[in-house]
Amino acid sequence: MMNNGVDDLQSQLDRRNKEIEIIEKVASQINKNLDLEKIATTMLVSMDRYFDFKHSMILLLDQTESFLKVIATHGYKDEGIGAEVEIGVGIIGVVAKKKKLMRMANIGSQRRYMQTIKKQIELKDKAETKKEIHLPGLANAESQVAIPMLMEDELIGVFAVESDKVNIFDKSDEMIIRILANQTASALQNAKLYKLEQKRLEELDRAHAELAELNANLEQKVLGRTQELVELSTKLAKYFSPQVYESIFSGKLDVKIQTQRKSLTVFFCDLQGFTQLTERLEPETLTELLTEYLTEMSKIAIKWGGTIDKFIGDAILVFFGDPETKGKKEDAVACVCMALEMLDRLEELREIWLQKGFTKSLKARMGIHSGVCTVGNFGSEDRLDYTVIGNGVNLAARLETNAEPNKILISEDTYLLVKDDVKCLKSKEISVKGLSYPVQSYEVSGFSSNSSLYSSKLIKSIPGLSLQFDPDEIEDNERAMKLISEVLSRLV
Amino acid sequence: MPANSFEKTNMIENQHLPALEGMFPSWITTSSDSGEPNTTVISQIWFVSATEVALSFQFFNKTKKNISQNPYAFATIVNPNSFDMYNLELEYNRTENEGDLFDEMDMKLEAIASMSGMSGIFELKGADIYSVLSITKII
Repeated sequence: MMNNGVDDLQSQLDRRNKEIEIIEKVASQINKNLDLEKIATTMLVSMDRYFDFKHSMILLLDQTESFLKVIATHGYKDEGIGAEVEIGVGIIGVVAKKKKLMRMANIGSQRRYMQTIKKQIELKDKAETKKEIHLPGLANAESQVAIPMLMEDELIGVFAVESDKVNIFDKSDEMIIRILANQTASALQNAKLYKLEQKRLEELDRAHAELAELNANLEQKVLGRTQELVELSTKLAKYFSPQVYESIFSGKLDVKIQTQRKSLTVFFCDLQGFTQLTERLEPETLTELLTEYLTEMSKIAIKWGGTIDKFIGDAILVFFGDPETKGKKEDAVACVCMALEMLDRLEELREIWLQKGFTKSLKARMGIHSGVCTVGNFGSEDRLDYTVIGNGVNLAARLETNAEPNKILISEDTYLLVKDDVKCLKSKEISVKGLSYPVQSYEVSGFSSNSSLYSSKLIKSIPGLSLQFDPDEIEDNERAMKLISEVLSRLV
Repeated sequence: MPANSFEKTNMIENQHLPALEGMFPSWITTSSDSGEPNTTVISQIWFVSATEVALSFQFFNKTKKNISQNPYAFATIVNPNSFDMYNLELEYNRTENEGDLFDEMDMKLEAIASMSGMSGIFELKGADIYSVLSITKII
C-alpha cells in the first residue's frame, strides 16, 4: 500500500517535471519570435503535440475593446480566423469580461438544463428571451478551459482549449494552460509593440526624408526668390527718388495714402526752347539729349539731398525737407546751391551739345519757394504717387515761368532763409492764384563773399581752353595777370 | 470491502471533489417548519472548503422557503468517474453576494445563460453557504 502511494507520487513528480520541460521549450520557441501569427500558431501546435489539447484557439481584444477576434486556431475544420466574440457572451466572452480563468466540465448538460428553465420561463412568465447565440469553436463542446491573457492587468486576449469529451481537463491541465497562456500573452504583447515600433520608425524615416527634401528645396527656393526680389527692387528703384525708395525699403515710409503738411523748399526748372527742338530733332538724338540733361541734373539734386519728385519732359520738380530734413534754413540753402550748380553744369553741357551740332542754345529757368506744403502718398489704393501739392508748389512753378533765362527766381520766404549765404537782387512782384496778395521775388546772383559756400575758385573749360582759377593759391599776382594777357592778345 | 458499506466522515476529502463539479446533477431535500419534506434537483453543489459547500440562489423557491424556516438540508452528490454517491447532512449558514465564490458561480452562470440567450433573465442572486455536518458514502 505504501509503495503504491510512493509510486503514485513519483509518477506525479515525473509528470510534473516533464511538463515543466515542455513548457520551457515552448516558451523559448515563442519568445524568439516577433511575428504575431507565428507565435499564436506555434503555441497551439505545441499544446496539441505535448499536452494532447486537440482543439484550441487564441483571440485578441479588438482596438475598440468591445469584442475579441480569433487570430489563430488549431484542430478545427473551418479555421474561423477573424470570427468575433462579444465581451460578456459565452465562456470566452465572460472570461474576457471578468478577467478570470474558467473551466467547464459538462457544457452540454448545463446548456440542456438552461434550455429547460428557459422553456419554463417562457411558458410561465411569458418573458422575452433571446435567441441562441452562435459562437466559434466546437458545436458539441463539453469541456473547456478559457484563460484571460493579461499584461499588467490589462486584457489583451483570451486563450481557449476545448474538447467534445466530458470532464477531460483537470486542475493540472488548468495550471499548464495558465502558464503557457501567460507566456503567449507576453510574447504577443512584445510582437505587437515591436510591430508598432517598426511602423513608427518607418513613419519617422519617411518624415525625415520628406523634411530633408523640403529643406534642400526650400534653400533653393529662398535663394531663387531672393535673387528675383533683388532684381525687381533694383528695377523699381529707378522709378523713385533715392530718398523715397530708401524710406519705403527701410520701412520708414508706409505704402498707403498718407500725407503730411510740412515746411518744404520746392524747386521747379525747365528748358526754354526745348519744345521747338523736339519737333526738329530725330527721336534718338532727342532721347540722347534729354537723358544726358536729366542724368546730370539728377546727380546734382541727389548730391544736395533733394527729393526728385518727377520729370515732366524737360521739366524737373525737386523738393527739400521730406522725407528727411536738415532744417528749414539748411534745406533752402541746399536748394539754392543745387540750382547754382545746375546752371554751371548746364553751361558745360551747352558746349558739348554745340560740338555735337545742336545749334539751338538751351537755357534753363528756375523757381524756388519755401513754405508749408502737403507731401506724401497721393492717388488711389492701387496706384500711389509720392508727391507734393499745395499753394507753395504753385508759387514755385509761377516763379519758374517768370524767371529770366539761366536765372533763379526765389520767393521772399526763401530769400529770408538764404539771405545770409546768397546774394540776391530784388525782382518783380508776382501774383499767384489762390494768394490774395502778390509775392515779392528775388533773383539769385551768386554766393555772398562771407558765406562758407562761397568759393573763390573758378573752373571753366571749353574746347581749346581750360581755366582753373583759385585766388588763394596764387602766390604771384603779376605772373598770373601776364599769363592771361598773353592768351587774350592771341585771341583778339 | 463489502458492497453496501457506509463510510461516514465530517470533512470533505479528495475523493469527494469530483462530485462537486456539477458533472451530474445533485438533489437536495429540505423540510418546512411543520415537517413537510421537499426534494429538488439542482445542477451543482459547489465546494467551498473542507467544511462548507454552497448552492446557487437564483429564484425564491420551495427550497429557499423551507430553509428559512428549517436550516437543515440533506443532499446527494455523484462522482462522475467512479459513480460513487454520497449523502451530505447540511446546515444553512449564510448567503454571500460578493467575493471569489460568488464571482465563480456568477461567471459560470453568465457564460451558459448568454449562450442560450438568457442573459439578464437567469441571474445569480446569491451564494448560499452550508456547513457540512457529515458525508456518508452510499453504494
